[in-house]
Amino acid sequence: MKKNLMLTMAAFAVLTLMFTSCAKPPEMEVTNAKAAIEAAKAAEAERYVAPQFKAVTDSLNVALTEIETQNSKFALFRSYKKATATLANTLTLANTVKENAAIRKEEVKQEAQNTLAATTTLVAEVKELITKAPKGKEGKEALEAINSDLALVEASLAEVSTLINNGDYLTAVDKVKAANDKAASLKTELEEAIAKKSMKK
Amino acid sequence: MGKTVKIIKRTFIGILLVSVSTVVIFGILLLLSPNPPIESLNIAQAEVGRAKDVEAQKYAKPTIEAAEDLLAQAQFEWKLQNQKYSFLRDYGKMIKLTKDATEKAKQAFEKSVSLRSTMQVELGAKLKEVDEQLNHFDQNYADLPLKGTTRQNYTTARLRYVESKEAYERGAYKDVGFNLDVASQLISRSVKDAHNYLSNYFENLGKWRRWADETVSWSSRSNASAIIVDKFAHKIYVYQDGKLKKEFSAELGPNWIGAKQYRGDKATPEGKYHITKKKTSKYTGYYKALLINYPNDEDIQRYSIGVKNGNIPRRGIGNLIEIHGDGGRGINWTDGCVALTNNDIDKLFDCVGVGTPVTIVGSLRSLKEINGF
Repeated sequence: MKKNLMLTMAAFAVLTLMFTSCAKPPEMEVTNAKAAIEAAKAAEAERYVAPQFKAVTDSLNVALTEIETQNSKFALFRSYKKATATLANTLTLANTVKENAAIRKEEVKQEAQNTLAATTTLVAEVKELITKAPKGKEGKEALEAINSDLALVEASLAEVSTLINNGDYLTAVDKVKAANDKAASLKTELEEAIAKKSMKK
Repeated sequence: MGKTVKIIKRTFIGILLVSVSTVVIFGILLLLSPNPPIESLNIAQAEVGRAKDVEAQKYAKPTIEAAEDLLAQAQFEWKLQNQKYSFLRDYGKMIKLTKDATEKAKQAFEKSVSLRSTMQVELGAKLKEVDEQLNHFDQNYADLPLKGTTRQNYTTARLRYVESKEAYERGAYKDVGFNLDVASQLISRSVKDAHNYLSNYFENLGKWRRWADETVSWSSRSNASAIIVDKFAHKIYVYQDGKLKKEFSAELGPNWIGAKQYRGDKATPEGKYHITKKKTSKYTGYYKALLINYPNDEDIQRYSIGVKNGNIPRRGIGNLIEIHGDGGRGINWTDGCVALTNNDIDKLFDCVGVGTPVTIVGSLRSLKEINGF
């Protein structure tokens, strides 16, 4: 008699457990991971660290698929441990990618700014060399051509500054490298002209 | 008492049987429930990822966006189905959506690969073409006294070209096109302008060669020396008894393309002249000088017509054109004279005299011989 009573109570306990102990999907973790990915996107991770950014979004997709896979199961058999772990990894990865994007962006910005500074110095040197170059009868026309080229380089540098201010560092680097090349060639042209003038003396 | 216990016992057994039956039925229903198409979804996600790896967002934007949209719909459909009892779920729509997403993603991948590859090849070829044009200009026209915006266009083209090349090298093909098109247009215009300018100038080639032949023949007939100045080659050739004896490098006026027309145009004259005076350093500021009889009759006639037609300013025709020293500066710097190094003018001074013919021509070689065009 007592044995039957115990068995019946155990059956009730099992049934109660079946309907009350369902696992909950990691909604908070999903929200946090998505927010972290959005933050990485805002930091232009897609542009500056594209493969890393893709890895993060892939990781989120894996987690979301896992959650729905668990949601497909009978409530008692659901387990979100794997999804939660993947989401934790996604969150960490997204934060790292955001930081890496910021670092890479800063590196490109520094490259743009350093090349801009170097080119501005080159332009100043070219202007200084123009004062020493053969003038008047000896090279007025050649200097006019160099001044015309220098004006184009300076206009290009102004565009570079605008691009840097607008945060378009990759395009700024492309443009400033072109301006740097031209300024360097003008400097060489002037140095050669001055050297020839000195040799003559 | 015994009866009550019996009732309770039967009740519990009943409940137990119902529970077990429920579990069994539920288990059977679970076994009969359809499985979600996870594999199909994973394939769709993988295909979208593969398309993104080849920058489908740049090269096949509408197609990859459609694939992503279909994928999102499939995931949403899955969620909807998951809200139903498992045995009531129908994944047909989800399967179709994932298959469509996969198909679209594959299309986006293929389109991106194809477009990227085409752009890489086409832009690479165009970069090469522009580079060749820039180098052609560098070698043949950059040092010429070109008019108008020819040099400015060349410089802008050079800046745009380098910018395009940088973008190309970092694989940003979409950023290459515009700048490269501008560079191509500008350098083509510069090369065309420069070439037309020179072509017009070289229309006189026949006349120049005739003058040169006449000068060499005179030297041969008279057993005397004669000078031919080739402006384009920046050379002075000295003939003795009709044979080439010496050759010197020369510098000219900055506007050396074209004949001298008026005072201060910084052009070196073209025509048949002769030495009228040999000046030692005592009589010239340029070490030594050989004064020639510029302007000759032809120069005077051209000047008069030019002034009359309003094509030439009324500044006078100019004079005191010489072959002199103080050269070797590497630029065309004179007011229209021909400058040699002091060493070379010493050598020339010794083998010519008053009356020696000085024939100044634009070029002895054709434009095709010079730059292949």
